[in-house]
Amino acid sequence: MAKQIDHKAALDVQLVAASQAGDMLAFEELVARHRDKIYARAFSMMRNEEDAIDLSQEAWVKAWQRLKQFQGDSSFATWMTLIVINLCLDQLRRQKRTRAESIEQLDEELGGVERQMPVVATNPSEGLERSELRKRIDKAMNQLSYEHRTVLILHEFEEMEYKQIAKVMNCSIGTVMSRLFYARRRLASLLQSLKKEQQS
Amino acid sequence: MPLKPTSKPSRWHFLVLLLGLGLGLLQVVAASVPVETHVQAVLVWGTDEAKPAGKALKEVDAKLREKLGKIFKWQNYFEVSRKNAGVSASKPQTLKLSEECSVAIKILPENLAEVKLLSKGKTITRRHSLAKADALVLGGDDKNNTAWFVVLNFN
Amino acid sequence: MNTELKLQAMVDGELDARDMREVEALLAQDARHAALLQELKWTKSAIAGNEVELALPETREFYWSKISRSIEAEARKAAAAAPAERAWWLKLLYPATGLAAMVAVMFVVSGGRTTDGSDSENVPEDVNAVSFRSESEKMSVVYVADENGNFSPVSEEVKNAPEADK
Repeated sequence: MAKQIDHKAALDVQLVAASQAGDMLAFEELVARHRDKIYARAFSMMRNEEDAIDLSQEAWVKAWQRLKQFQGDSSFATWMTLIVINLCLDQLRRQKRTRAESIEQLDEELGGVERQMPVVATNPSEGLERSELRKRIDKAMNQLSYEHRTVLILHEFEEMEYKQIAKVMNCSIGTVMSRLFYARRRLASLLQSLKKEQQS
Repeated sequence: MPLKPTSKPSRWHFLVLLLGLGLGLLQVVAASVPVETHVQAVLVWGTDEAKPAGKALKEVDAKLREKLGKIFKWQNYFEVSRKNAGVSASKPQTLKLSEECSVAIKILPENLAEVKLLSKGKTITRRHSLAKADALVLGGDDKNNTAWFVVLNFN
Repeated sequence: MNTELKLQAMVDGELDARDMREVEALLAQDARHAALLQELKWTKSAIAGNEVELALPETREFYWSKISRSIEAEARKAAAAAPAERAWWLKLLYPATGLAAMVAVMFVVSGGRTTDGSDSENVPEDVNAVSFRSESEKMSVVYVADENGNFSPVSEEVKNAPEADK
């Protein structure tokens, strides 16, 4: 008979092992521990509460079904994050096929416009309180297309390398680099505009 | 002609007979004592909006607000209507909570209540155990990120 | 890889040694690229660790109830997809059910009660419902998710009431 574990006190690795053996309560504890992070990642990509809730739940269901495949190569949190990112990307691709694109978005896709943006001469984050900076970054990221926002999220927040991002986004490393370059330049420009707005 | 001797009833026959008699007695007892259950049904609207002016909506009582607030995400809960009734196995009741909705309650054997929520031609049926002192809450999404709840208390 | 992307790769630590030397030489002479490099560095350091923190806007029980229901539904689908495997189960199920029925009758006769009866619900096909019990609030909940909000006992008059004066 499997040893009963104290779910609240157990480490993630113990809860994963128990869940893999069919302990649903252990899995519920994992959900409780990581639900905010997984939801937040889904929201950062989808920018919509309802979609983020639905996709994060779908991610947990998929995780339960695929638990036996989790070998501990990465942390459980990282593994879960990848599941929800992939679900979000699938959903965003489906939405893109049915959504009309704005001219701005087409400019982003075609590329080249980032080379025409003037270089930001002063640090746009200087002197800002952390909470204010976070709000501005969030507001600026909301104005990027999903491809550019995703590459920024994966590189800056999930700390993935170019090669990993290319695999997740199913594109070339060159595309990852171009998108990241555009996203950063656009973000710098947006943060600069927000700073000017506040000062005026 | 001599009578053929009957075979002696076995122990098992007696047990089956006792079982049958016991079951029958139980049913007679149960049927003869009508137990009335008091039901209170409250129709609630959950929303993040502030109370609409000019409408006869009051906030639910603090206790219900606390319970709903701990389970669901909305900021405000307004009572739309409230009905009370006594229900028993021989006396089912239908409570009209709004123009579009009524809830039909029937007491079933095994300490169960059957609750049917009828709204816009659709029915949600729930068999609810009365063994625990739980309230029964039927709820669902509504437009514009609001929600509806029918809170039933049995005692 | 063009020069601008090499600058970015340098900031990200993804530039090889040969390209690194080339870029460093360029930066020594080209003020525009030096300014661009600075912008990229500022942007990177501004973003790092500055993601907005968000909490899931649903209670633990409610969120988990939907997940566990989906897991059960998926398991039922998988089981339904393999009917041949269940045949031998059924053979065991019949006598087991008969035994359970006998035990139940004996229990009733002896005056005992089943613990809390059998809660169950029936909902229209075009709505999804989750049900769960909150031990702390002593509430049994059946929550219906009708995507368009079409199933509602609350009248339109209540929902369309004008907003309060702000």
